[in-house]
Amino acid sequence: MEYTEALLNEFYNPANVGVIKGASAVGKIVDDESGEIVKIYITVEKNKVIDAKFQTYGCVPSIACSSVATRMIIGLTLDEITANITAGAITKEIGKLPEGKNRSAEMAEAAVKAAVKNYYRKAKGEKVDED
Amino acid sequence: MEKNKIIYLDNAATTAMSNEVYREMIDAYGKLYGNPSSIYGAGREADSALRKAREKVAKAIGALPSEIFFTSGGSESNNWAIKGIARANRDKGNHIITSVIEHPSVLESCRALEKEGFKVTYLPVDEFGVIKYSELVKAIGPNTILISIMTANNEVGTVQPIKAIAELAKANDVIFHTDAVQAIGHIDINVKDIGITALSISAHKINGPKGVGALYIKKGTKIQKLIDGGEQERNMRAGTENAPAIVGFGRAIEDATANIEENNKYLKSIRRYFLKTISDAIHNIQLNGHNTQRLQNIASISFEGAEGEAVLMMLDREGIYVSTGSACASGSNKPSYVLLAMGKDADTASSTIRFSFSKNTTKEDIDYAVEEIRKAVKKIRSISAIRIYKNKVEL
Repeated sequence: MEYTEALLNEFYNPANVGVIKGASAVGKIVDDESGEIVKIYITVEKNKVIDAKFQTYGCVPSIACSSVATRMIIGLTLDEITANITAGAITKEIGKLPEGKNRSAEMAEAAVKAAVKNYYRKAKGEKVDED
Repeated sequence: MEKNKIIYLDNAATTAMSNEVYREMIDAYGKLYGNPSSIYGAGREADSALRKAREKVAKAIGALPSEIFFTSGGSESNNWAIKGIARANRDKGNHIITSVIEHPSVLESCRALEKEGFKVTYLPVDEFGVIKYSELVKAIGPNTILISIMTANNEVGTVQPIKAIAELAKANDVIFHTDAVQAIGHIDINVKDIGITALSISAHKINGPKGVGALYIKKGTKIQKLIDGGEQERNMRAGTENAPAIVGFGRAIEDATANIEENNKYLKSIRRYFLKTISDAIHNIQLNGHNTQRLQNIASISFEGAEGEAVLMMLDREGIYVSTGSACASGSNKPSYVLLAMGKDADTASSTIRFSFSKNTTKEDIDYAVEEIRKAVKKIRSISAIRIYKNKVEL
């Protein structure tokens, strides 16, 4: 199994690790089979993500994909994120994923989309469990 | 210690070839060019080298030389034993018993046989990785023809009660095969004393070369031949023998079984030192496997909140080579089936690293490795979505 240099660089030097206290929204995805967890925090101002952080319990590509996803979404509007941040787009940033590891990019996408969804739900006044 | 030193703690995956084996093989590559089946001098010389190697392998496990069949390694031996014995004994029954923690070459062979109409019972294991003997007793029926249980597990090092299993198999007139690939050189195995019908061995786990191993088959056991063709390996596995590799295998198994007690004593002290050092350095860790019924060269440890592959790759950068217990490294995100079978949850299973030592591992190596493991686990835990608490305080 081979990891691209870009993927390993992202893993060894991940961007935006940690939590945002008082984040506008949080998206959390848990994969019961593998035990992997991806948590993405976003701060939104005027419908635009101005800050993003992540915490990931997962293998090398999962950490790399979470890092890439946070870098990609900072500066984008929520509509742009919904339209453009896909597992394919995340994978493209790090070259390619080894066979059987697409799940890593899919989880990063799902966590970003969950954060956006939670943001809208909170904006509507719904109670959202973000632990 | 100098930077960029390689510390190899993955001896259960494969071992470095010993200097003695290497020298014998180089010599053999130069001299043993003859085909062992040829009757002239060069052929006889190669044939004689094969005979000596076969005697060494036989002696190491208390078998007759005529009961040793050279193969390409452990996976081939397991495939041959299980499929060959099952198919040749189909007139007696179609039921096979194995365990859920066997090597994939055993499990996949059994699954292949299921497609041919064989019935397979996969025995569960307890939290230490030991098969449940009572379940084995219950599973044996009139159609059972083969029991295949590994001598020792490759991920956690737990040793199975193979003597009791062999006795039960004999009492029920069932063939007993054991995958002893991880155990050879660590446990003294005498196939006659224990009552084993078939046993798989691999050379590269005992400082021998890759691509060579053996299957012991007790005289009189019905088994299908593996490869049709010439009459090599007593007409059971055709193809010109890899004489230099077999010579290396012979030397490796001779050396590995000569000092089992002494080596185990050393490995036990190294493993103890490792466990003590790592327990002092890193909190929230869990040791997997059996405390006493175990191989001394393997330590399987789960680091709460730190995913195994991520830790492995951090250590790789520091020249420390270890292995995850999981299939993650071979391309899937699924955690180790062995650890799951032992009742570990997916998080614990996926946070597990297997460290495996050799007689060349020093306390200095352990000190260096543990410090790097501590740093790697700390870094991966700082990224992790699983937070670690001690007395309700986040660490």
